[in-house]
Amino acid sequence: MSELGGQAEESPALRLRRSFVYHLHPLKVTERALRFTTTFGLGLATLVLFLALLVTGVLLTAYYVPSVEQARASVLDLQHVVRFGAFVRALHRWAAHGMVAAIFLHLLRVFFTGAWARRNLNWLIGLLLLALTLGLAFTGYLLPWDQLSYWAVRVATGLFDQIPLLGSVLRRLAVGGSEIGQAALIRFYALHVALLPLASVALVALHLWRLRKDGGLARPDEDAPTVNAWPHLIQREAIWMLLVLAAFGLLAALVDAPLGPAPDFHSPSNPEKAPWYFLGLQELVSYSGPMGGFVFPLVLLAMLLTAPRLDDRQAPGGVWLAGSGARFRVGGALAIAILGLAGIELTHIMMRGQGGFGGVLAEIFNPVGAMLLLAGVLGVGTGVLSRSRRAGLSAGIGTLLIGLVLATTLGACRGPGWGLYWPWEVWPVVP
Amino acid sequence: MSLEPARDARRLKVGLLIASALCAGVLVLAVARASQPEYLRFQKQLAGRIPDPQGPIEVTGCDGEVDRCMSCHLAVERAGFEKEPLPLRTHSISLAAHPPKRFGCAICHGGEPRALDAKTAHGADPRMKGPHLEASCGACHVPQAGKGMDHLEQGARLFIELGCGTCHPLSGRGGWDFGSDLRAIGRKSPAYLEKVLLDPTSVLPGATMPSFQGTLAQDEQMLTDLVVFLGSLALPRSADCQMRTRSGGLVEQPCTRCHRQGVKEQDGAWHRCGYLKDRAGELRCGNCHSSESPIPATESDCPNVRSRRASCAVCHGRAGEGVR
Repeated sequence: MSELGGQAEESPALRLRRSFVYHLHPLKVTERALRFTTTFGLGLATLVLFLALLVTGVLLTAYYVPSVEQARASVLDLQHVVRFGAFVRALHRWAAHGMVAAIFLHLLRVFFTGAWARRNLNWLIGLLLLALTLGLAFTGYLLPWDQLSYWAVRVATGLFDQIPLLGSVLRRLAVGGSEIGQAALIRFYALHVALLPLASVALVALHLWRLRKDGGLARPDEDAPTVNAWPHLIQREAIWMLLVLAAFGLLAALVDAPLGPAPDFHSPSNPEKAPWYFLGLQELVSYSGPMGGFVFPLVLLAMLLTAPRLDDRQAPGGVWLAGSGARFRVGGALAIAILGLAGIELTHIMMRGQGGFGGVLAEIFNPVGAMLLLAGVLGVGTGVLSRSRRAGLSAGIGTLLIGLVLATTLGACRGPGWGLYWPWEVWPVVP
Repeated sequence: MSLEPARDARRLKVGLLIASALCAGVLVLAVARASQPEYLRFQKQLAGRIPDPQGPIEVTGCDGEVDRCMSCHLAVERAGFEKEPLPLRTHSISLAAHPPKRFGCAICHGGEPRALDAKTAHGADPRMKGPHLEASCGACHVPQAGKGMDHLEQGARLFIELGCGTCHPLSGRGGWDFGSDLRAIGRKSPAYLEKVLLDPTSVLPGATMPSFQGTLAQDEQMLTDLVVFLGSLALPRSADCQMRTRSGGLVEQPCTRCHRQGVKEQDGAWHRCGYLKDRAGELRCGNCHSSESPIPATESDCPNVRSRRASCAVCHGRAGEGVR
């Protein structure tokens, strides 16, 4: 004790603050970092939901049995006879949906403020975390082993088939055979409770460390007024985390996580949809398998991955839509993108069943091809007009992201026979 | 705008307090909801009139399925609760032949017997009450009139009279290859089955199946009865599914899952194919083939007979003399 000297007199709370919390932030932060609208608290919301998922997930493993015979029964038992089981499961389910939504919005915020500029490594780590989050959400989707989860996973793993050459190999690797059965369940379970969470924890630590090393939140001006991180930033963060927790806790306390009937391996529901975060891809695949299931995601992923390298590093990071010089052009391009994408979708909906191209031509001249073309034209056009590659990237990739959001919305409106129905419309009786 | 540190620190303290209070409030709400399960209310209502139940009541049915229905349906086996509202009422018919302790409830009523809230437990299972409940009888029993399964018996009769089995095989037996096997048709909803029977092409575009509107629409009862019988085909606990018995761990004849050894045929346990076998003579080519029918009218015209593929005669002999 004696060699610790003065530290022995610190309260445990203070010691925790000094040894851990103060390392997350510098002692002084800019006033801009305190404003909610700088980040909308999206990264932090993702983090707190991830922590909630870790805690509830550990609790769930105490009751969940990863076998095709017992999985659903164990979830029912958890839901109905384990005290607080329904609450823990609901919190896990809603926090999972919330985390996927939050991390995607976080990506949009970081992307459209150019916060990725000069931060190649952390941008890549962030994209990896997005992939891990989608992987966690997707593997978790199968575990209740009900009609919805079984068929959603069957549909979503079917998307693998759109990848040329490697598709079926990848699908077999994920599913552990040609059908989704015990092998798939145990693989998904192992990924869901061990491999993916471990990788995520490691990458989250790396993400936060890089954020600190890169100088905190990306910001345009260096000589902004500063304040102490404690209490002004750190307590703000604590409040926000508690509010997010309270909101999801309230949702979990009021709304139970659903559990459908046991899976019927011979007859899918009609329509059968992938989880909502893959619904955009499923919608695009319904236009064209290879374009929607392979080319579009590949282009989007490649553009996101290489954006920091293609960037001209002229505009500062942390400003919306590539900064004051290009803001109107990028904003205008994105407005045109929304109109154009909506036009493409509408044309497709009206033309459906009216003939058109067949064969290879149909795979090129379809809404997905038109979306890619629009993104390319808007991206290059905005880049050239603004003489800024940042502006071009923002407009081009932004168009693809908006296209994905639009496709997800349309996918949500799909009913029997993949027809379009308003959310309030009643679906007809189908097999 | 510049921040006043002292004022901001005070505001943050209040903020932290409110946020923590909200979290605590949510926890209290969760605890309150978890400590008030639906069944406790019913158990309190009957307190003193039945032995103190204290918590969920669980039986394991003969099919190995955990059944918690009696956590709310507390008096199904007790006399004197006939006038009580549901779920506290005595079972409407005697349960002497089917004691819930051995069978559970879901073996007849379907639903989600592990669940403890009415909405999940009852679900949308058509067998919960009404005529479709009789579909469950067919999982184990020969349909017989006057045994509380008149709908099922009438439905089975209609199945034969309308000639469904002429085109549709059951578990690979009988039928033509253009009728789908009906071994699992019981999984479909009654609404769907009714729609297919009345207007097949509206849900199955291009189906060769004729509409039974003319026969069935005049009599709603007939339609319901046939759907009840169809609903009995391939229920999860049907007799053709073999399971391990809980006691010995050996695979035994399915009948002994429910019927203790020594209790045999008089219980009416049956093999479904046996039913159709006994009535096979009633399946006649004429059920489908008539002079108005687009299907070839005479045997010699019928390509299926000539090629010795599935038809009535393949199963029943040319003169209907018997089953192969």
